[in-house]
Amino acid sequence: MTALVISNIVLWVAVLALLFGLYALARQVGILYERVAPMGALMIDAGPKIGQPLQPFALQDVRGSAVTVGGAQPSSTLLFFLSPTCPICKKLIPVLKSIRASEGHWLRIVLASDGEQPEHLAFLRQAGLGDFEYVLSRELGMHLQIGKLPYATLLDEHGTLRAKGLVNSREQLESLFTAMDLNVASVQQFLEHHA
Amino acid sequence: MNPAAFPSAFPMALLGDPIVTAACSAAGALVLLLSVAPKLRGFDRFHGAVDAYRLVPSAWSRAVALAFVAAEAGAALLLALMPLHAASALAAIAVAALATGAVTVNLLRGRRDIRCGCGGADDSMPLSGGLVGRNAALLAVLAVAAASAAVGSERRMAALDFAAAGFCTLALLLMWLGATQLLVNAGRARGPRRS
Repeated sequence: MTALVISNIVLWVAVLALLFGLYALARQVGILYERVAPMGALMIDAGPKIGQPLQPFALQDVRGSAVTVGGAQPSSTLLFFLSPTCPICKKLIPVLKSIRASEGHWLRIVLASDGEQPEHLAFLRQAGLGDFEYVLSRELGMHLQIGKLPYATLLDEHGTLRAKGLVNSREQLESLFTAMDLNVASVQQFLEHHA
Repeated sequence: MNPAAFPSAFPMALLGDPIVTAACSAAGALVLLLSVAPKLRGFDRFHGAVDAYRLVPSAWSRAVALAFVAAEAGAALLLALMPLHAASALAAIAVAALATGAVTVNLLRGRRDIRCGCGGADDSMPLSGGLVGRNAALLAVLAVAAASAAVGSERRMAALDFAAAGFCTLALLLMWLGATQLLVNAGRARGPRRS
């Protein structure tokens, strides 16, 4: 009888360990899925070319006010495409806030996404993005052919596209500004031609 | 043990046993607590999900969301504090059935790309048949808890009984967590940018 009890307890511990191991593995697979997000059919190089003007888009902020991107504007515009469920986008939010503080004298940052308004309102509040303009526009994303996130597009005061690309870090965001200063399509292209 | 002495209604003799009641109630309570905690932490996000379900007018969705969270938290507490009363399990069944019903209605409408709203930011998953299946299993366990509590038993629990109930609870909980993670993974594998 004692043998049965001991064996039963040992078996239980083993079963629980296995169930826990399976759960842990499933979680790791989930993390991998997040990192290796499925490639959209759109190439990163798609969309309007650098140097092309973006026509004015009269959009609405999630909170209701009017926001215009493209065309002649008082300052350059950084269009940052994100999503509430994109983990790297969330990582870049503090970077955006700091860039807004340091480059605010010549740069306006507009956050862009698409989807249901309550979700984005909730995300805006949770992430503390109240100081940013935040627009939902499928048309803008489709016109600029945004496939993967986080994606940034830099427009100058005339609404001309000066730099764009997938950004994962502060360095990559700042490289967009450098590209605009050096008047090249991207820092990558500059290095290829001048290295 | 003499096989001939096995009562032919063996499984039914187990119903009412305190181990069955305790294990199923505890597992149910833990699942409900794990489900309500992210809703309390990120209430706006849950509100967004309730709104997206489009089962109640948008003006009511905040009130409905609040009521649901209160009901779920209440049922979880009932199960945790009064596991031997069938009413606790029945309350939990009502809450879980309500959520599952909402999911089913939207699935029948063909809306497979809204979030279920059941977990936090890392656990969000789109609606699917698997989700309904997972919830059906939860309802089954809660039904066993209710039936077992209703039948009742005079048997007092000894140390070994508590151990057995504890093991069963953990096993049920781990299976729930594993199923949830697999559903989250399936949602991520299905497509990008699900908000």
